[in-house]
Amino acid sequence: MTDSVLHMEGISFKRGRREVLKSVDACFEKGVFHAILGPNGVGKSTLVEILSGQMDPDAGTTSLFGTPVRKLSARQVARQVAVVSQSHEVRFAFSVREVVMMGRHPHIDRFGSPSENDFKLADEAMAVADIRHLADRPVTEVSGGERQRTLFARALAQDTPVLILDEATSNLDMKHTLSLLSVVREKVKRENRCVVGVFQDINTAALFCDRFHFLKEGRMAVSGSVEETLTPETLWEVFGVRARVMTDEVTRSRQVLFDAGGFHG
Amino acid sequence: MTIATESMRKTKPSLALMKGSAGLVCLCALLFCAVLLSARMGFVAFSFQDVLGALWNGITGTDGATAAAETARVMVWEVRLPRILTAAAAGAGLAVAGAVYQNILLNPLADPYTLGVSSGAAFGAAVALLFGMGKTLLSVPLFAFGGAILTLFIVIGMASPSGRLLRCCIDSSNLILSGIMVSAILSAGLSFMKYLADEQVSVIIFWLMGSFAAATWRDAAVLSGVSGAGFLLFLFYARDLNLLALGEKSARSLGVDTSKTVLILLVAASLVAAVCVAVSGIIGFVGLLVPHMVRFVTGPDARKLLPATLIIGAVLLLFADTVTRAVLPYEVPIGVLTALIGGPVFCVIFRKSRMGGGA
Repeated sequence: MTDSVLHMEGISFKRGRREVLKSVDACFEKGVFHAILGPNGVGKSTLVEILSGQMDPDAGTTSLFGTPVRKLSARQVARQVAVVSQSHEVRFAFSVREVVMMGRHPHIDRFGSPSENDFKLADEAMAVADIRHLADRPVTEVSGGERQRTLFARALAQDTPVLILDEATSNLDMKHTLSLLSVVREKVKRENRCVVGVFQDINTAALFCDRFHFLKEGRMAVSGSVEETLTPETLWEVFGVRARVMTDEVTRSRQVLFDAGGFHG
Repeated sequence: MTIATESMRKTKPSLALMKGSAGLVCLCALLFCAVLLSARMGFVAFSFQDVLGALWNGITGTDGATAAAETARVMVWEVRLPRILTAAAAGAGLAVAGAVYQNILLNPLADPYTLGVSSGAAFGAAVALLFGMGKTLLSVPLFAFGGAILTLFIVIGMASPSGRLLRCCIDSSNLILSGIMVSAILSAGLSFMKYLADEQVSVIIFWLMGSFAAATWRDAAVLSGVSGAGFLLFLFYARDLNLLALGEKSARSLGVDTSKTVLILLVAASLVAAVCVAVSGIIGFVGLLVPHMVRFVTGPDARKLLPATLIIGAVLLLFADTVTRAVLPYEVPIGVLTALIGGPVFCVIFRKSRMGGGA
């Protein structure tokens, strides 16, 4: 509880008449890689948008290091929380390097210019995301996966204690998914950062994350360590699928095996 | 490898800065030459020497030494220069406002017209003209601004999901759709007013087509002041504009107070556009084409795009106005000319950007 970085209490959110989130409580500590999992349309993305202060909830409070997020300016939040969302179409031909440098925006004064350190962080982020060879290409002309890596690099360059990944790796190939999530995991362990990721692929999440939070019908259904929560019973309850859960002997991580006919109803 | 990137990192920003300032100096020189050239041309053509002498007399407030020099002074300083400066300031203002709209609406093909702001300004100004207030100081610009801002808020109100103006996410395609709807209604209102105004109708029609023929020093001062102030404000928000160009959510996650910033920028851009419309009538395509063309050269970074857009807009509209004033046998309303030239160019760019997938 003392290590709590992000804290949500009684978060409710309505979209039109539909209640997307119903009084969700959650706590995200530092030094932990959190995964948020759940079926489509269950409010995962809404939850992380509220978590990152991009949207205000209808009820409840989110606190960042003990301060309610709504009392912080967008700039103050951006110095603490970086977000990688799913890449969308970009209409203006900024170069990949320019987009990554935008991650430094909250740290640079309005009339200041980027420091040596800003360039260094952007360069490192581009190296990690494997996009240095694309640095001068317009972001409108690179592929979807490369654009996603550019947004990932931008968030890494933002260099914040909290990182939020909203299905940030869902359109990346296996190699880049593994390398980026390894770097993120290293940051969690070595630099004691707090990372919250929304995942569609349970096995990828199980490889890297420490704690699982399952959302079901707008409520937090199950929350806890991977060992406690990743069970056939949870998968049946949350997703309505029959699956076997086993521990991989090499990586010591839990992995899920599905059956083709194992879906509910 | 590391040494190469080190040195690149060190030289790159300063090099870019030097290139940028050199480009800016060239553009300013271009604008100055365009002003001189335009002041030379007209019903009576002068030599550059006459023009420079007339400018000197005008600035120092002295009469010309000879009768010919005095004629040159009156023609250049009192007749041509106000018109030249008004045209340049209107071009600059419309172009910069267009650039800001394009960045905020995430649409490289947006401009004051897409939001219905120009129609709103025209409607307000036409109301002022209809009631015979065209003569009184500032009533037309004030009515135009009122019309533009009112239209802007109606359009934003229609486009935002909850009807709230602040602290909400406005979808840019909704914004453009509401802009088109509102401006269709306003056009009908304008036609109705033309129908009502029997005696004032020629005033309204001529003004709507756009002209700098009656421009005074006061027009030039008001327009340059508003365009210049708007430009400085936009430059102040240049980095936020860059972030907004990648989408509102992404800008917010990078620390831009999006609703406040978007509101300030939209109101300021509308003010600039409204004053341009009030002084010169509806002049289309400048706000749309100039930023679009400049972006091909400077790239989308607002810190480079805005200054270049300001000056190119001024030069282009000055050029168009000089063509109608001094080159064509009959003076064609400037709004008609820009539409005749800009429309087809716009069609080509539109086709290209549709085919190529991006602008």
